Amino acid sequence: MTDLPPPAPGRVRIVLAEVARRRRTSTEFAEQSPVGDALLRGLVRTQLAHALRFTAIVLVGLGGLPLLFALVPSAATARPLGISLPWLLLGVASFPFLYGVGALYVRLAERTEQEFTDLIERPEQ
Amino acid sequence: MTNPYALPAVLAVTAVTVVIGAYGLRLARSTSDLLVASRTVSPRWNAAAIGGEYLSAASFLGVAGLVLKEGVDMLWYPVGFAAGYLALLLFVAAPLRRSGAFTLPDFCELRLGSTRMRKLSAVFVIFIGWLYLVPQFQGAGLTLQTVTGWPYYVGSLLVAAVVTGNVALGGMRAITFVQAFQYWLKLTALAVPVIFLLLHWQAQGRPEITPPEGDTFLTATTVHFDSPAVLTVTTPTTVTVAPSATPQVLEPGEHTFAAGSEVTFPAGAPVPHVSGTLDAPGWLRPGTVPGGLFAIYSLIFATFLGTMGLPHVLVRFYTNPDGAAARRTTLVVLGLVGLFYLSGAGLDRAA
Repeated sequence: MTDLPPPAPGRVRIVLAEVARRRRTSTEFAEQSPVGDALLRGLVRTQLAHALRFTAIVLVGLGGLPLLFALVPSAATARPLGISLPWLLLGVASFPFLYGVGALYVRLAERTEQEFTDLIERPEQ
Repeated sequence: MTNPYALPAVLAVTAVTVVIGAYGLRLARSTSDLLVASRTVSPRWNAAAIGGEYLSAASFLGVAGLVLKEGVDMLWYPVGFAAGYLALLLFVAAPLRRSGAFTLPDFCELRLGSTRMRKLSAVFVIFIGWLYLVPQFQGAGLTLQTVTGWPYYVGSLLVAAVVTGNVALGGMRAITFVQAFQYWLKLTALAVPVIFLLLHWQAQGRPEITPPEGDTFLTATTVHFDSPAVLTVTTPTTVTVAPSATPQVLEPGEHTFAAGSEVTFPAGAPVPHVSGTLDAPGWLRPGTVPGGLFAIYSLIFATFLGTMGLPHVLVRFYTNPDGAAARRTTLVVLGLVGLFYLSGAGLDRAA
């Protein structure tokens, strides 16, 4: 007689909420010392400050345009390169601008995280 | 009906979708596979998938139509759609991924520690899902009806069957591949007309893109009215109205044409505009939208923040390996969406 294959595992009922709850306990032990906690809060605050600063840049750079066109009618009818300025700014320039801001933020955020990791892993002297 | 390539094109896209889904099916084994593709999706694939589900007919035809009707102010829609991803990148992407949740209600429960918030968020997710589902089914039904003449419900049933099959069997990995494929397909569908329009523009000796006195017919043009329309004529124009062959003069003012009319305009005649839309110099200027600055700033506010609340976009960030990858995904999406709307804006103007 040949060996039977091991019996197939029975059906397992998976409730998503329970899976998520289990994960929570396993991730929360990460930072327990007060020093680590303070460092982590500092990191979060730095990232938030960067994000708020970039938001301000976009709000002024893009959000100012309708006001500019309303207050300075000559800007709304200007035609550099034979294309009306509102079309050039909204239809073309805004997308590279948004991408540029995003790229800068990603670089800054990754550098901040790298510095944090270096700080954590630096051997005590 | 009229275009012999329409039906084969629809069938080909459906077939590719099914094949890609079947390929994903071989890989889906565990809960994590099914829900978040085991969190192994690279930023580039994930970004293409997000772009694929985010950019739809609304971006293709809706924005072009709005600009034609309401003017340059409507360009705030695509700008806002793209800027919404910047807001997502700055405040949501990385923290959302780091939480380790599977879905948006999961995230709510983790962060706020409340099962009631979880339920409320689930209700919202389902509600927003419906807002997307109903027009999609209608679009599918209408498209297949227009292309083949089949009954309206066939398109909806077909789409429901294909998508349900893909999702149930292949899970998140299959969806990722399908959506990424669809982004590149949609970008191609938009870029090809833009390239040909640019070539045509070049061949015409690069006429001024936005002539201040409005557009004129370059050659004698016959306009066929599928639906009744009121045209506003600003200068006396000599036209022929079929079936009569004798020219008649349209005096400045409004002229009503019934459905089925055929009107031939001579070369060099100014293009009249359809009543209810803006005239040519009007839609080049900002500030023409009803409601003025208030309407524009409401639009900016809504679109800049709105992307953060789309559950079908947010859930894709759970498929990235970590927070940094989620951030890079958002950046690539910003680039892809920008590329799409850039060609869209080109098409708007050329159209």
